[in-house]
Amino acid sequence: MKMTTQDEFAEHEIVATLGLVTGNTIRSRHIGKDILAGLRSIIGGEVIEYTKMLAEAREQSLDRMKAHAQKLKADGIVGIRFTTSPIMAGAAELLAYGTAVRLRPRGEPGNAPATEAVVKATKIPGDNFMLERG
Amino acid sequence: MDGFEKIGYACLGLVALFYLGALIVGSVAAFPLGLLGLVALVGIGALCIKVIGERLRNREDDHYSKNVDQ
Repeated sequence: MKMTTQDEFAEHEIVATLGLVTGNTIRSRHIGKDILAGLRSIIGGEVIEYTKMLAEAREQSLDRMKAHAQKLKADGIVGIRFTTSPIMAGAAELLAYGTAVRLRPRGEPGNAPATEAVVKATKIPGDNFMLERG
Repeated sequence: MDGFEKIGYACLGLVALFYLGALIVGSVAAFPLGLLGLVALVGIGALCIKVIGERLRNREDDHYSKNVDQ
């Protein structure tokens, strides 16, 4: 699965847009790590307990977004972004989102037209309303 | 987890156990209204067991805990 924060790939061109793919998670550390993190904030320096928590949330949300894209039989995801919002104290919420696409190496003849792929993507049950609205 | 962390967790766990014991004894001693607190303790305890059980069975969480550092 190719992924990029750009709108396109340098070596591949987009032949079909499959729609929005997302992956989110909320993770926390156990109370012992929270106490350690609080003590570290008194002394200063990196709070490694929360560094790890955010890294875990980042990887998990990315993996879930990839799984969503694989469900749509995508070759890649473009325009990936991360966003976060405060849900509870001492926890990290991360939402990763992007646009799932089908790709072909630049210079090869085309595959399926883009409009057909969008219609297929809207028929998958359980996807969110943004995808169904196209 | 280094030695100091282990000592810290052990001491906090011990205090938590004593605190829980004191809560139970106090609830029984304050009979009959104290039984309300006992029922609440049982409810929270059941939820705690559920949360701990779910965490122990969650292989996805284990994967990220063991393999992702920064």
